[in-house]
Amino acid sequence: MVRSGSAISAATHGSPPLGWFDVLDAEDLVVPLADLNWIYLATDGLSDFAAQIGIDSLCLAYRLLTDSPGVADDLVAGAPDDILVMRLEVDSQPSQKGSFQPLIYEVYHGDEVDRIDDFQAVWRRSLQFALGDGLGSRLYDFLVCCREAVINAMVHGCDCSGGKACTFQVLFSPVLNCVRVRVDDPGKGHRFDPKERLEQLPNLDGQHLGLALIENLCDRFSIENNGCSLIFELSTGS
Amino acid sequence: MVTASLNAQRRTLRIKIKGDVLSTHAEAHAGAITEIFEHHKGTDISKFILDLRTARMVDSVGLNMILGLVRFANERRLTTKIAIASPAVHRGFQFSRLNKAVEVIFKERGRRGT
Repeated sequence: MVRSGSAISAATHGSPPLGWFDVLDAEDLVVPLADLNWIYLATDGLSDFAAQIGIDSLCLAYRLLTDSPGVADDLVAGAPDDILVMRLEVDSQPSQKGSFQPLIYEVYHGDEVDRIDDFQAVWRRSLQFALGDGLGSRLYDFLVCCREAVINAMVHGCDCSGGKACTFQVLFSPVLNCVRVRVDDPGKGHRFDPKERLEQLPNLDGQHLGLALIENLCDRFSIENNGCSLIFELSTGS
Repeated sequence: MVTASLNAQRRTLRIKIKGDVLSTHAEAHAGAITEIFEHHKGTDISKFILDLRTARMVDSVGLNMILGLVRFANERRLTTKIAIASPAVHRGFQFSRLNKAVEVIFKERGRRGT
């Protein structure tokens, strides 16, 4: 589900139906429609094939929903299972913010910091799969910013604990030519002043150098929820 | 991977880090470079070139590691240069003012140096 403000959330329960059972073990899922822009529904063929080619399933959904049918068929030619993906537009007049399409949604636990290179490899493959060379050399700005934000959320927001998790989401607006990243963690938050950090830079020993680096490399940067939510954007094609 | 070459005639030690300089490997890189300097202890060296031309990314831990190397070289009164080829790395160096602390040679692949 994608809400206005471009926050992605996953359904709290439910799973793709398996077609060969006569009776489905289904549960009702009540979703408040307020601020809701899109609902994505997919069979497990989507996530299985995305995992097979090492990308996030939302990137595969994006291509399947935006490419012409012939191209989309070629994309999933090697898929071992049928794929059905639907995007329900709930808001009939989505705002510019609502025009952001989800590309990546992942949940990382605090004790997974050592796997950051693996996560980064998935982000890179996913972005290139969805947008081609749309970010150009700024792909590496994107990767550095995401890396810093996720490590920060795992270490400071989740205290490196396997019992705590942060969410990482990437969205793309074809209208605005912009990639938006949002990282949310369950921590206590922090006070971060980019100007103050830049003044400290001659010493370069500040623990929040990572946040200052993000603020500098991206085009737009904001912090919400007392520092527990980090949002930044990079324009494509620049 | 870290490799080194010494030009005794020019009294220049060139150390090359292959690939990105990121949190997951920065400490190992720093250890390998310290070992190289230790190996050349007593050798007449006046210039130190850090070759990062294959790095496409340097994160905050990598920047701190590089700054530590620059300080290390400054303490030994070495003339230090850092060679880079990635615009993203160049932006990180400019932001962190590393390019004010040391001579940075930025030559994007297929373009003239700045």
